[in-house]
Amino acid sequence: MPYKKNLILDFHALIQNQTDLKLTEHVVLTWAYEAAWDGTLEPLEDDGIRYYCFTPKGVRDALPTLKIKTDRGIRKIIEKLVKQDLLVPHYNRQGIGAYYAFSPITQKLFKGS
Amino acid sequence: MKNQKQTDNTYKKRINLDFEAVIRQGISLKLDEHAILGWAHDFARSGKNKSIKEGEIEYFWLQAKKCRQDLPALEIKSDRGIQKKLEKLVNAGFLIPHPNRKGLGAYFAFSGIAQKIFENTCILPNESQLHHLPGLESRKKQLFELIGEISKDRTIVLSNNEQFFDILIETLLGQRKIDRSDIEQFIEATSYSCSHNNIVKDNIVIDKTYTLSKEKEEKEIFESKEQIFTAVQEEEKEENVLLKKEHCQAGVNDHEKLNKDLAALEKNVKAMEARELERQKEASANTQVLLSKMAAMEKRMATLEARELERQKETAKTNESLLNRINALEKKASVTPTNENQKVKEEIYSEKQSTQVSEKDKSVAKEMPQNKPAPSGQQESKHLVNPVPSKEEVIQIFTEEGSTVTMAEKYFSDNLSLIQEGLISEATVRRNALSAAPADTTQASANQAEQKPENTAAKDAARQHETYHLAQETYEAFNILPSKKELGNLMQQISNIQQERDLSIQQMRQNLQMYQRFIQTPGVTTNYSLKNWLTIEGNGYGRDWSKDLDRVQKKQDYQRKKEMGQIMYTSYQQDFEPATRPDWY
Repeated sequence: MPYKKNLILDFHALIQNQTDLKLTEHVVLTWAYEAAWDGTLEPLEDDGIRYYCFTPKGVRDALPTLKIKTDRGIRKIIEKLVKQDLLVPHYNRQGIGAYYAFSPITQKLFKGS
Repeated sequence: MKNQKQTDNTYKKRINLDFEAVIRQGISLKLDEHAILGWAHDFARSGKNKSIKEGEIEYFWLQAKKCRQDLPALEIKSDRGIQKKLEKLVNAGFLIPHPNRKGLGAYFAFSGIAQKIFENTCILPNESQLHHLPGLESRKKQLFELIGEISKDRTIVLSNNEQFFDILIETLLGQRKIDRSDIEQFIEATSYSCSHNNIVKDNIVIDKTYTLSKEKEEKEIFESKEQIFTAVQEEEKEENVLLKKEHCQAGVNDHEKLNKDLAALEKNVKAMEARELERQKEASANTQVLLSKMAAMEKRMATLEARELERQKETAKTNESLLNRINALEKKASVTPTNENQKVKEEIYSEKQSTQVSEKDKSVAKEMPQNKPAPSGQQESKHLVNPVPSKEEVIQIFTEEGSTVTMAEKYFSDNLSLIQEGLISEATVRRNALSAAPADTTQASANQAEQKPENTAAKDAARQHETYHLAQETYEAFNILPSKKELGNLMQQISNIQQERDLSIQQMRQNLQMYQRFIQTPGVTTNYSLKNWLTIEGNGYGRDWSKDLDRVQKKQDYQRKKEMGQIMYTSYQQDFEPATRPDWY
């Protein structure tokens, strides 16, 4: 996967929605959203919800400037985003893999973009 | 960030991170540093901050506080943290600080590397890219519908972008028709009002954060500029106040420092004075102690001197009395028959020994106070010890001893110097007179003259007889049958030893007998040869062998007792069993 060349971080949206995110988490989320919309990530539609596969390798390849050396580090960031209800994991994650959907909060964050 | 108020619009709303530029140039830049650098670039080009242009380089005022306010997402809690980040950017070569940074403040210029990072910033995507944007088509439809509602009569072709923008601009300008050139002018005019951040390669970037109405935007810009200006003024004021305070404090500090130094010096001087006084006290105490010791020593010396004087006087008195006694004995010896001569001589000998000892003591006593002046009584004591005879006395002694007056005069003239120095006493003079007395003397001493040579001859005969016997006994002791010559030689050697070691024949004989008994006792291995006996190495006649004999006898008794079983050794009791070693030992 080619690296992400340009990324616009919308702090205003974060503040407006009172979302507390670290810079790396913000970058990962933004990349994930843009990657989902520009067709980089293939969607899996289930029950009217689109899920996207965020593999740690894909994140690391797309965002090398984050300098996260292990997949575990990426997984931790994704887990944090899940905990903050920004990403919704697929209910059969163990069966199908690391598929996540964007929560309404995330959609609200990127609504203006 | 949660605490950030919604109404607070001082933060940076959007930031563009160009990863491509970073990766292409092989720059190592952390995410937060990248964000700060992006903020700095946007802030510098926004025209909201101060700048200094020096030659071709433009330095921008990048305040840490402002950065922290603009980027709350970084969660940097202090200005110092931002300053550190800026320092890192300086060290990495992205920012160039102003040479007079201390004087002016936090003014930085963007280096060539930083410029390259921001070359591609905010590129407006081309049409092909726009088509791929998510939701673009639906938004466009919505917009066209909206414009169609407004324009009513017009039909809008979706594929024609130029027509779309024309209608849009016309709608915005209140249905007023305009030419393309007007639109370009309008675009150019609006582009000038935008920040530099929104112009890249003659393209307009419509940032949604700044999509307010023109008036609002201007008002906002004016307000923000005013705010910044007032903030800057306040900061400057604060800085001035701080500087003044610092100056005042520095002045006060200088005075305080001087006062402190002075106080410290005074303290040191006082401490030194106290130490000096203590030292003086110690020195005076030491001198007093030394003086007292000196006085005690002087007293002791005086008492010792007094005692020495007394002792000298006593020795002089005893010597005098002994000399008198020797003289009397000598006189007596000259009168007494030959059988008793030996006893008398022995007495004289013993007396002489004692006098010699006392004279030795005296010599030692003389040596002791070498550096001191001779005490007044010493000359007298010397005179007493060796009474110096006058010429008349010498003549008298000589006449008494049967010599002539001429001989006495001759003796006196020959030994005048010795007599004057006190080295020749009356006794020696008398002895010499006796030896010098001729056989035929004057009539007055005719009887005495006859008796004296007989006495001396008898003495010599007795002495020779004794030495002869001693020589015989000696040869017997060493199991040697001597010839007459050997006997004569031994007699000569005995007489020599007698003179050398001041030994009497009796003493020598006693020692020889003791030695004989000693070597005869069983267990004794000592056995001198006659040669060794006679030399000083074996101590021969001069050694008291009785001690050795006693020692050997005691040893013999002990061994005899031991053999007889009289010595009881301590032994263990029968019921006592000594400790046995364990099996493992």
